[in-house]
Amino acid sequence: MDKYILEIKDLKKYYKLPRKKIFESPKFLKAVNGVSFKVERGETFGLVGESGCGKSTVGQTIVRLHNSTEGNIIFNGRDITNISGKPLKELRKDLQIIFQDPYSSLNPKKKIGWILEEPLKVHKISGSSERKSRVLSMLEKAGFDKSFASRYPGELSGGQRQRIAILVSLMLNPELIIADEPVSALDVSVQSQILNLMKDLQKDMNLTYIFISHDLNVIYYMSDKIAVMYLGEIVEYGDSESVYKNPKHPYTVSLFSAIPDLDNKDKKRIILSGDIPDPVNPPQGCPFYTRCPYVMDKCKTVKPESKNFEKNHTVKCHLY
Amino acid sequence: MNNLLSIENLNIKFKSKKTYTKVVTDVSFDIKKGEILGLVGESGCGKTITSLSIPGLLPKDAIVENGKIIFDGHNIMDFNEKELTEIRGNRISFIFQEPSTSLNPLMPVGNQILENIVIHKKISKEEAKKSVISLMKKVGLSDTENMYKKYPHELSGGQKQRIVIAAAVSCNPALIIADEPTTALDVTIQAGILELLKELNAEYGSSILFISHDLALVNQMCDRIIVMYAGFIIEFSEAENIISSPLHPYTNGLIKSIPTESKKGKKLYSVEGRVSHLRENEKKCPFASRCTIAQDICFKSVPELRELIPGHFVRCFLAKGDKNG
Repeated sequence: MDKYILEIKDLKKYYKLPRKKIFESPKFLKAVNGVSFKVERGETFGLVGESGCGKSTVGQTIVRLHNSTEGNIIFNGRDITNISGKPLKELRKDLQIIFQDPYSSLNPKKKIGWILEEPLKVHKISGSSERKSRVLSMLEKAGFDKSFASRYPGELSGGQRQRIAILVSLMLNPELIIADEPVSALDVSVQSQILNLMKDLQKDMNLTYIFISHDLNVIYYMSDKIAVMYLGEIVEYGDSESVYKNPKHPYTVSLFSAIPDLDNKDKKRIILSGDIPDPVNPPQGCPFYTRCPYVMDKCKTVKPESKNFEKNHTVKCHLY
Repeated sequence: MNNLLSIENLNIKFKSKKTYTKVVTDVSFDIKKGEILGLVGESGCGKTITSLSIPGLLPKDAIVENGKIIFDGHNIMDFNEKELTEIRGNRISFIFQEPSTSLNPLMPVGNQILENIVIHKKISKEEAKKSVISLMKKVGLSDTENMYKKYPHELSGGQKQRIVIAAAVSCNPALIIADEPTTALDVTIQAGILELLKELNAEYGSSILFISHDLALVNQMCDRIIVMYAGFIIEFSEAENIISSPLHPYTNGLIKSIPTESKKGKKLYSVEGRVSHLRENEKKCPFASRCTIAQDICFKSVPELRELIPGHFVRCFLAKGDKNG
């Protein structure tokens, strides 16, 4: 089997904006603008960035909730960029997504047992009684009592709902899970339960995760690799130790410095001026130059190439 | 007297079907002049209701049983609507979590700051406008003349929150209540807003009641921290004491469950169960059902908030001064 479960090559996703004037040439929102990465089997790949940087779009494009504008998605050695119909439905058995808000991702009018059984029904897997027993064994895996199968989502707390949402995604024994901000809507004391559960299930079921979050501490805790996104591009990528302890890109450095840290109250913060540029008109050259403290003339016109540092650490910046 | 605000024995309950749910129980604390006081707790712990009660903004179905809110020597609870209007936005101002809902979408942002000044100060519109422009510069907005005429939807989240802050400080309030002011914002934007709040605190000497669910954030901002759980203050001390030697099992668990650098590769601690509010007349420790060290006494009566170590208050029967929880 291939070492890499997923390979993304120069992925682009543009959204066409409505025309404001007749005869105006259409404008595009460049949500993802040339992203490439590889995900190894069994690892957790962390994708971090601020709102609007395109991290969720990347995740949703991989599971083919959107069609990509350009680029290739190669899953298990097979190009899945443009498949549709039955092969796409088959693919979804192996490729699942967990969303941020468990209050909106579970059908409030169905019982938990029904919600968990649905993916099996959709894919016509085994008979009714076997499906039910699978639901129960799944519930047990996440530390739920069997009686939960006959409850409604409204009776559960936020953390319990998110655990159910995770179980739903696992019903079909997928290989790759895309977790899109799975803990952002939860309180800290509950957040740790979810993170622990995800780690346990990963070991149990040989899962590969793409973990998307804006919270660097969570990303670092969970991931083996970290990719930092800014304005539709990956600006830094590497082993999580290397990126977290020794960030190179000025954006990563300021992002890491801005996180409140329990261990270190008075750490030095780099405060960026300005806001994230409009993705409809991203700056020419480096996407970060409008806010970068070390901006040079070159940055404004030339797009930086990826540069390799230690074995597995790449940065897109003219400083290096 | 260097206490700006004292809350004494505040009790608030809501009617739910046939019983009452106590949302705030026996809450007492002081805010000193010029201090940034942190109020931390998870969703539903009563931190927002406590803060809303200060300027009399509680929802209509909230029932205040007893309690005093002494602001500048007067009990706000006795104020009528007119007196309350006089202090709101003027002496006590609010910064809410979501800047896009706290601004009026149909009004240019400059006017929204202006409105507050014109209501509370007897100055002409021209003068007020000048001070709006200088306020906007102070909170770090550029191109202020143009920005003045813009509508909220034309600004980014960070810019909107800066407008809200400008409006909040426009009358030089004695107290700013900041309820999760950066939760809706990105980290790099958040850092700027926090810095701004600290600057304003240093420059105007306004006290800030800083409310957040994020312990690390509160630690970074505040001198003293109050931890709330299910409507009770369960721990209260200098920020340092709370973080480095928490006494209450809940605070301790909360700190252990936050992922930090040193916890990578280890299992995170988690506080099992869920928050449950005490019913009326129920006598037990609010945390007892989730507490790992709970004993019989915890289910029989409500612990008092006691000063275990000088300056360090905790509401727990079992906490000891020499070791954590």
